[in-house]
Amino acid sequence: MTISRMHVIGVALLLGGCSGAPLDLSLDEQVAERRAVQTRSFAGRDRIEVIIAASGALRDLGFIVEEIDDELGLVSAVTERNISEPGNQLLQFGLLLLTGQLMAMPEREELWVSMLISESPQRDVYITCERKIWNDDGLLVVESSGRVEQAEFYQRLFDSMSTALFVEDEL
Amino acid sequence: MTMKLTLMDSGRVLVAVLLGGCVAQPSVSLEMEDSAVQVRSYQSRTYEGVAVTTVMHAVVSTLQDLGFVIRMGDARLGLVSASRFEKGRLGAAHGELLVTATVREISPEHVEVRVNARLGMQPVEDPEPYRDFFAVVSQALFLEHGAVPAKAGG
Repeated sequence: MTISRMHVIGVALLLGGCSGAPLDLSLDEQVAERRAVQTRSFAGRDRIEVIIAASGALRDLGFIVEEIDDELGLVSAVTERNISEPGNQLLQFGLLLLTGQLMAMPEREELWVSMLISESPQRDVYITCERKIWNDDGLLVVESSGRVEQAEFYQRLFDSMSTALFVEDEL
Repeated sequence: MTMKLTLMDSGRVLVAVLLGGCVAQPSVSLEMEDSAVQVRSYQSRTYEGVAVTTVMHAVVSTLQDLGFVIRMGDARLGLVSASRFEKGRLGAAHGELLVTATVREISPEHVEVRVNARLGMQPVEDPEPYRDFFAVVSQALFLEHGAVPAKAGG
């Protein structure tokens, strides 16, 4: 009786510890650094031109534009792609032979991007992006999902925007 | 024997259907609790002497600074929806943190912001995250426009 009561208390404490994580909506110390990577100025450009270039760049990169608000200067877009590698099935089979367990492999990636184009003459474009990855068993890969922080990703988007603006100028 | 079994099976199906009809279906709940007024008060902040568009931009850029992706925004309606994937810390469950913000002019001098958040299927009712959020918005407005919050709550 005493032991089972201790078990109940133990389980209750463990579960209690799991539910108490506070939600944090304060700024961390890396915000300025992240903002620098995720922002580029298109000074001297018309705001509508920049919004059109942003949506064009996103579409060039395979995104579907979901939302545009020219007054707010917002462009939101999403893309989804298959990320399973050709050798994954072979690797999966090898691991199954070795461990006797079928290991799930990454299969699908979803990327959400939002761009905010400022009203100021600097015409700053601030991008945020989040990705989610699902395994071939349909489960979300929590460790690989979340905010995209790779500078190259944002660099590529801004370069694509510059190209879109250049193309517009040439037309 | 076969006939008997078939009759019994039919009986079972009939009973199952009848009992199934008795299972209570969850009702659509739209009740407003007493605490809703209190929750609303810490979900809202009023700013003085600043344009509604300026507050709207401060709200959107704050959401971006906090790692949210803006899913929808309408400057005319003063409405913004954003999401952030929340990895479970300290063993907590992960899920989508969804935020809706409304920005509206309540008088020529005052702009009210109301934010509400939901983590997965659970509404966020803890005042702390909202206080943190408004602290960042207030800081952005003060640094760029010298605006100060008139008061907490609507």
